[in-house]
This record gives sequence, C-alpha cells and structure tokens, in this order.
Amino acid sequence: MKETLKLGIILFVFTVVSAGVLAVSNNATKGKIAELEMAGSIGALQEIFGEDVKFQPLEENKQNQIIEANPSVVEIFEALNGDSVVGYAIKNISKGFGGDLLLMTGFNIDGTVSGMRVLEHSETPGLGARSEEPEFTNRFIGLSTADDITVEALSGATGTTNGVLAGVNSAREIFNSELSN
Amino acid sequence: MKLFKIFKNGIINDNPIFVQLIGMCSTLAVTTSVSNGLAMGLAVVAVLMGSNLVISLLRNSTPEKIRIPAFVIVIATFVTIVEMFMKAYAQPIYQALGIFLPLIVVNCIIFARAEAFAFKNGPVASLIDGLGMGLGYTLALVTLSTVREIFGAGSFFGIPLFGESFQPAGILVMPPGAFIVLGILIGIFNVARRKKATSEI
Amino acid sequence: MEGKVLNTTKAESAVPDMLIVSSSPHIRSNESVERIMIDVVIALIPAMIGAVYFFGLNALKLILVSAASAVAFEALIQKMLKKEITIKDYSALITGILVAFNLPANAPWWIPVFGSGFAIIVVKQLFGGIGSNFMNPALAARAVLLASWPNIMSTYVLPGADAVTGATPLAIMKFGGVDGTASATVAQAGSNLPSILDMFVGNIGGAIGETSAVLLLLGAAYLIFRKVINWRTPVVYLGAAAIFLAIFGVPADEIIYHILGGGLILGAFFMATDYATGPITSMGRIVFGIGAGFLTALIRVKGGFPEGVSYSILLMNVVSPLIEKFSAPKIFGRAK
Repeated sequence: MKETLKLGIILFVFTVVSAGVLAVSNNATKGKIAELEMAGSIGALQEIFGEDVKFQPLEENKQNQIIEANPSVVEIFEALNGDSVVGYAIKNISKGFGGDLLLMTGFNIDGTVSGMRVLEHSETPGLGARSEEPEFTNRFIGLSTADDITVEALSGATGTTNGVLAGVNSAREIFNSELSN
Repeated sequence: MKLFKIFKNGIINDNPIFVQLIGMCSTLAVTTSVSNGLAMGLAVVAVLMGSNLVISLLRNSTPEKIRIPAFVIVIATFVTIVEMFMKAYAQPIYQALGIFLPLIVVNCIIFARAEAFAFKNGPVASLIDGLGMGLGYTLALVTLSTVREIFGAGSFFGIPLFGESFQPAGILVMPPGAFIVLGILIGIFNVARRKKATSEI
Repeated sequence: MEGKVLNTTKAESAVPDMLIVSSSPHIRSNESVERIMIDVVIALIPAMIGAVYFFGLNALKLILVSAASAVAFEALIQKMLKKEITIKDYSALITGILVAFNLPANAPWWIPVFGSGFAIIVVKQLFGGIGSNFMNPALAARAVLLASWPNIMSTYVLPGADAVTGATPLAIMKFGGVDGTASATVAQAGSNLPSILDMFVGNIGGAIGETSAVLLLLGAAYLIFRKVINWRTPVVYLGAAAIFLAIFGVPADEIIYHILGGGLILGAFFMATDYATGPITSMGRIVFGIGAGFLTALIRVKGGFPEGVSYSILLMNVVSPLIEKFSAPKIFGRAK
C-alpha cells in the first residue's frame, strides 16, 4: 500500500512537470499559430475578393447565432471596400472522399460567387487533391446564388466534387437567408 | 572514442531502419518526398535526444516498476513540444506529415532506445546515442524518399528534374513502391555493411 | 502422368538436383529446363505472329525490345550477384515475351524495358532466380506498369495499320462506349461489340498478345500434347470464370465475350500454369483454377477495372503455398 502510494506520487510529479513544460511551450507558440491561421484565412480572402478589400469578422452576436443554427460553419467574414460591405466569405466544413474538407466560399453582395478555396483536405493525391487547384476552383467564379450551384466534376473524383458542392451550397443557403439583405 | 562508437552504431551497425527494422510505419508512409522524409527524420532526432537525455538523468530516481509509464510521459511531452513548434514555425511541413508527427509517441525506436540504452547509461552517452540513432533513421528516410521522389515524381525537394516528356513511375510514390524500394535498400545496405565488416577484420 | 518429376532446376541454381520437391510418386525423366522452355517458346510463336499481323510492326518492336531487355537484365543481375548466368535456359526470354504480350500496341519502347527489368530483377532474381519466385514475373510487371502509367497501359489500339485507339470488348461491356469512355449506356453496349468470329480470331482491341484466342489455344494444345503444362489449372480456371460470371449476373450471350476477350486465355494457359508459382498437386491445381476464376469474375463485374486476370492470378500465386499444404497427398499406412 505504502509502495503503491509512493509510485503514484512519483508519477504524479512526472505529469506535473510535463504539464508545466507543455504550458510554457504552448504559451511560446500559441500567438504565432493563431497569427498563421489568421494569415491563411486573410490570404485566401484576398485571393477571392482582391487585394484592395479589407476584411473583418462578422459581428459576434450574428456570427454566433448563425453558427449555432449551422454547426458546419467555422467563421464568417465581411469584405469591406471603404465603409460599404461588398461581400461575405463563409468558412465551413464539408465531408469529402477522404475526410473533412475546410472550404471558404466568397459571395458578392449582388448574388454571385466571387470565389472558392479548399483550405484543408485529405483527398487522394492526383485525384481529389486536384480540388485545390485553380483549374477547379475557378469553375465557381461568377455563378449565381439564386439556384443550386453545380460545376463539372473532377474526373475520377466525383466524391470530392460532391463534397465541395455540398459545402458551397450550404454556404450559399446561409448567404441567401442570413446575409444577402 | 567510445562516444564515437556509440554514434556510429546508431548510424551504421545498428541502424534502426536498415538493421533493426523498427519504426517502419512512419518510414513507409512519409517518404513520398525528400522534404517530408528529412523533416520527419529531424523531428525524431529532436525527440530522441530529448527523451534519451531526460530518461538517463532520471534513471536513478525512477523505480523499475513504473519506468514504462514514466517513459510514456517524457516521450509524449517532447513529441507535443516538437509538434507545437513545427505548427508555429514550419506549417507546410506540419501539414504534410499529418498524423505521423503525433504518432512519433508510439515509434518503437524511441521506446527501444529509452529501455535498452538511456535507462542504463549516463546522460552524455545517451544524448550521443539519441543523436546517432536519430541520424540513422534520418539517413534511411532521406535515402528512401530520394529514390521515391526522383523516380516516382520526377523531382528532388519539389524541384522538377526532368523535362515535360518524362513520365515518372507513379507506383514508387504509392504505398507498394515504399515496400519495394525499402526492401531493395535494406538488401544493398546490408551487403555493403557486411563487406566492410569482413574487410576490417 | 501426375508423378512425372520435372527437373525444374539447372545444375547450381537455388535447389540442387537431388532435392526436387513434388508430390509422390516420383519418376525421373530426361526433361530439362531448356527443353520445357523451348516448348513454351514454340507455343508462343503463333500468338506472336498474330500480334504482328494484327497490330503491325510496333508490336514486333515491343516484343523484341522486351525479350532482349529481359535477357540482358538477367545476365546483368546474375553477374552483379555473382551467380551463374542462366540466360541459356530461355526462361528470361519467355518472361520478356509475356511482358510484351500484356502491352497495348502503341506503348512507347521504354515501357517493356521497365517491365522486363522489374520482372527479372525484382520479382525473379531478388527472390532467388528461376523456380524461387513467389509470383509470376510477367504479371507482376504488368501490375506495376498499370499502377505507374495507367493512361499508357489502358489506352488500347484496334487492329489495323492506322493504329486507332479504341475500347476493348471488356471495356465496352463495362462502360458502354466504343471510345472507352462512359458516354454510352451499358444497355447500348451489345451493338458495339465485335462479332464472335473476330473475338475468336483476335481482330479486336486489346494487349498485343492476348487478343487471338485461336492462336493462343493452338500453342496451348501443343504444350498440353508435349505434357509441358497440365490441363487442370487452365480448364478449371476458364470454367470457374464462366460459372461465376453467370452467378454475378452476366447475361449468357456476353459470357463468351468474357472468355475470349481480355487476357483470360493467355493468363489461364501460359501464366497460371507457371511451375514455380502454382500448386503442383492435382487437387491444388483445381483449387487454384476455381480461386482464380472467382477472382477474375469478381474484379470484372464488381471492380473498378474492366480486366482482372492479372490480379487474380497474382493473388492465387500468393496463396499457392497454402493450397499446396492442404492438398498434399495422404501418406499410406499411417494411422488416422
């Protein structure tokens, strides 16, 4: 009994020290990681809307309300030209062929798609992974948000294409019902 | 001189991949490109040196009975630190290595060195052993990924080597290619090693 | 003739002459590796002529490049490994011809070089040379080529001088269109299929050595007559494939296309009968044939590829030792 207690205490000391070390390194890296994630989003946003446009996250109450109703949504940004809102970008998760797809779809306020990016994926290299490439993502530019969005499927990767389309269309519905007016 | 022997042991005589055949899962999976292979190798060097040093320092105050959970805590801590720093400062590589980075925790090389070497030897020797074994692993990964990337994708460190008309043998960057190339490399490495051993005598 | 022992090893290769592994009873004959291999080469000649007749000079070029590189790689690797050079036993030549037989007629010259190199160096010599390889070298090469260059390996040329690409009968049955795409529905496929006479003669799209059923059967008949191959594996294989295709719902009039089209006849008579990679017991050969037939039907009907002969023979190669273990003859006089 006494020995068990002693061993337990020794292991406890190990875990405490380990937790302390991890806390320190987490502190050292967390700012940088958040900054990179933000930079990744902004980079994709600028590719979609152009360099001159400024971005800010959607107002917090409204954003939370939308995310609560649509759990697949990660973040929503407003695109501003000067003071006027020119569009919205919705970052959401969809199911691809090999795992989750993290998508960002930009909508112009006039009801067209301004662009789409696949931010993260785990699709098959050479097939579904081609969904990242401009040749595929450019197919979305200018499509109307009035109807269901469809594009020509990537050859050999219908599953990935359907996953992307499902994500883009769920973003489109949110844009139509919550944001466009 | 003894330290140099420990170092050389890790790279050649007891090379974890080519001779001991341990830690094969990540070896087969991440070696699709040289940059992935090198990054994975260096991540293992960092974890292995850290865990070997700490386990060696604590070997007298760690009771036999709880040494395995103690190893797990030390190794997991180092892996998590490496993961955090890679995520912050080497994001593309972090994403390319994916699940195999956190899985270094269960890489047998690290456990084997903790149990077989660091728990029985002093901190300096353990640190050198970690460096040697880690570099031996890195050597194997870089060799394997060089062959696979050049012939399977036609590039080296992502730079295309051949003209447009070159059609690489796609199977080499697919899983079966990993097994075929690794098998051939193990054969060549051991022939060379034995030849050297007999000529030294 | 079950007990005839084939002298499958030559002088100093992996297994010495005294240690021949086969099922009892054992009778020695004068046959040697060379004699058997020469018979196989003779048996392949009609199909080779057919390949050149249907697919033109490029087919001849592919066969020559493939055979020459297979022999050269065999000599090279045996010299490097300091083994006796055994290119005179013709086995490398046959591997080279069979690799070429699996290629589409418009394949570039380096495809057979890579294929023969892989077959001889990796599959045959690194596992110990003739008699020690665990899977058929030519088929393993085909699988590697197909995985590496799927676009080259599955674009087939139709017979004729103008080298038009087109779908094989199997691809037509699977995907519908004559151009190998999914543009037509499978129901329309029937009208796109060639006539059965063309199928039998070999006037259809496909790999250069596999299309002419009649010429392959001619060679196979010679081999069976010379007792080089046993009829059990190929006949059971073809029968099992037909039965399982019917079970999987292929209409009766299309089964004949499945038997004559693709690599089934080539595979059944010239590859599944390989001594080193198939069982040697009668029962084992029947099990091997049934298994290969089942897998071929399964891959052709349910799989993503129109053709499944090479994968099914390779898979059965791998389970051959197991089949052999369970089909070994009982020892007489032993208590149950």
